[in-house]
Amino acid sequence: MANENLINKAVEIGTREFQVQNYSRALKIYTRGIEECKIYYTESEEHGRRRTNRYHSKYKALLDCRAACFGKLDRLDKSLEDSETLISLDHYSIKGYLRKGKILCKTNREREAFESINDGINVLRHGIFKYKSKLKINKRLYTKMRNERARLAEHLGYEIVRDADGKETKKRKQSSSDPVVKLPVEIIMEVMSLLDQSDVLSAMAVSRQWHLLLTSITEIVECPTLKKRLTREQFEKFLDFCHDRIHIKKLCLDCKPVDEIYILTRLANSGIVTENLEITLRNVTDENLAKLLGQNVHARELFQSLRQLKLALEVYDVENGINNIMAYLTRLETLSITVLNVRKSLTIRQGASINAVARNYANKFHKLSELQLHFHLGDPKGQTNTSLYNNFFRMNHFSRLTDLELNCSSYDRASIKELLERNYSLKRLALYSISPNEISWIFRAISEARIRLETFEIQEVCTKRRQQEEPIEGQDEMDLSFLSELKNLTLIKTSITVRSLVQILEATNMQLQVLKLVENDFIAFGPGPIHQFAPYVIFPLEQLVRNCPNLKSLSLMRCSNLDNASIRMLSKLIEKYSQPRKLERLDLSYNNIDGLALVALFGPNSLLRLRTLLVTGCDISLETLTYVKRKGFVEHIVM
Amino acid sequence: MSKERQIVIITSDGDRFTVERKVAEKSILIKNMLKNLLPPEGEEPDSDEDNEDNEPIEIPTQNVRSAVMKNILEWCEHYKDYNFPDDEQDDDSKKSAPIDPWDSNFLNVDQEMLYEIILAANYLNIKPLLNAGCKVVAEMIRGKSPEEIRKTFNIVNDFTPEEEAAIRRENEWAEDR
Repeated sequence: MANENLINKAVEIGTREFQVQNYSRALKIYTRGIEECKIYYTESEEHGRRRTNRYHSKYKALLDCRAACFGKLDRLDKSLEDSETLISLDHYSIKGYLRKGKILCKTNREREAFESINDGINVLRHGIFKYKSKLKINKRLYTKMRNERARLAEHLGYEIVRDADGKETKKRKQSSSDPVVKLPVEIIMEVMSLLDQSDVLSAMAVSRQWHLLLTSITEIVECPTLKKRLTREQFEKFLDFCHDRIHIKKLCLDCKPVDEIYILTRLANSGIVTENLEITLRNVTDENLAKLLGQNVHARELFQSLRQLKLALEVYDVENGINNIMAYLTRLETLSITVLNVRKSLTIRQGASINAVARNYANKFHKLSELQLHFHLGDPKGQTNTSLYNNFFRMNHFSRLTDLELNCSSYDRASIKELLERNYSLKRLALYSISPNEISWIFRAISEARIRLETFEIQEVCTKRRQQEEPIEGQDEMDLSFLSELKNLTLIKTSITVRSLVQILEATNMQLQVLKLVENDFIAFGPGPIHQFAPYVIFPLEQLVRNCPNLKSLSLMRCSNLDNASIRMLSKLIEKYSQPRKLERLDLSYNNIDGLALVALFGPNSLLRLRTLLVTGCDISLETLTYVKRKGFVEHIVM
Repeated sequence: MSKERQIVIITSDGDRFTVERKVAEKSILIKNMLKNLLPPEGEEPDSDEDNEDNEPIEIPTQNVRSAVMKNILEWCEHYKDYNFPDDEQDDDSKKSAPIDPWDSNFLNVDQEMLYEIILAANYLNIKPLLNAGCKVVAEMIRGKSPEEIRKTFNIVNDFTPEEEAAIRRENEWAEDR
């Protein structure tokens, strides 16, 4: 039989000795007490059934005290042993976990300390959940235990999360590893190539190591976006940023007007090589630029090595600057010129200008496949730029064009005809600011050149002119076979009639994939007044659905009399013909339609499943749009 | 009936994974190794093969530990019947293509594991997985300020305020978003 008295005495005297720091004596007394408890322990095991009664009530306290003694005496393994025994006896022993954690920390085993305390917390949480208030725990010590775990987690860079079973576990903190340290340079490069300039610049400011690494990657910003109205100081900073990165994929320059010539010269002398230059000049005219290219060999080299150029500048009316610039650009593959303004030559030197023009050879472009000319200034006079553009085509010969975009105040029949004949492999033709009259002869010229267009875009803008002329008619005798391979058709603000449109759609051989009709006054989709000249004919939507089975994108923007009834009709026709099956994008912006039309469009038998639906400027409630989206009819809605 | 020889991948910490050939061949590195050891898939092996040819082929991967390999093989298993198009697509479409939702979920692991998967995909030459991993890291950076990036990766700002200001000035040429 265990000696109760001895055990109680051991606790009492041991503690007294401990308090006066007589640890080795305290240790002896505690050990004696523990041995006495062990006798009790073995005895009670024989009869006892209840677990709590298996050891003496003072046994745990004595173990903890002795563990403390061992700790003080630097016998850490012994101390650890006692605290582990304590935990094994009582899974809810906060003191045991705390002691064990402390000892492990002393031996630099923080990870194990964390695991032990964390396990303890999970056991306790489970116990509290299971026994509620029946489980007596010391709140103060429990808080201390949680604090200790938090301290360790912080130290080890862990984060406490609950796993699927509700158990609290460590997780490496989301924010604990630096990719620049952990990943090789080529992977960091790959990551950076997926990001925009602003992200890359932010990344450069993260730390010294990031800055050092990123500034050493030459392709870090392949297509830099420079500030608009860039000053020379800013450009110098950009050159610093580039230092030895001399290859730039694409460079867009829009400089402060007074710094333009400085920046151009500096760019040329910097040794930067780019294949794709986009430049807007407000101060430097065609003449200045031609002069610079003539004088500065570096500038010449820069321009000669270009494959793509987009140039916007002011030109003189009588000089020949633009054509002189063109002489340096014969290796280009893509060219876009926008004339911002036509300046009147101050000195009226008609004779001299003719001399300047009278070069005995034209520039020949054998590689240029894309050409965009925006010579239209929005003023209806247009006389000057007609001559500009006539000169342009006289002095520059193109023979490999596949993509041509023209925007002129008026089109010269002879030069267009010649241009089209020379470039019979043209695939895309876009004509802006064109008049109905011009459209008829250009149609004829395309057809005579035996061109097979894939993309055809027409935009009329001169409403004034339109009113004076009859709408486009009389294409019936015309050969529309040049449309037989057409895939994209855009008609904006044209005065094309219903009959012509039907003929055009029929001529496309059902190949059309993109159709865009915007503000064509004479194409009415429903009854109602439209235009003084317009014959009262409603566009038969059936023709559209029947002739365009492969349509992927349909835009009907600002259409005359396009209302709910037209949409209902369209929806019925799509059901009837089960086509177009591949329609992904539908733009119905700025029409007099509301939610009912949309619901009709996606009726029970509808086969429409769109990627994108655009209904800007339509009277459609958010609820309807949400409904359409939720039902899965449309992925994205733009309103 | 010829019996396919077993392929066993051995990780750096000695674990062995027995895998199907088409799963293993998601790794171009392993695919090239197998090319030299096995007849092309579908072809009968030579009839006068040696006995030892029926032993499993062991592929040691010194750089990949077991926990990472488990993930890698899960990915390979998921895509075993999928043929990825050639990587040589143009940059822009690669850049704009959003990350596949399955991949995104698959790579929703702690950063340490993410990096290890990326490194393993790089070593084993599994391009689509490597690309997905890079995209996940890029998304952790996208649209963030330097301070937010530091927070994401727990990086200490070791610039002096002067240096930081200087870097900001360096970038004065850049158009803000």
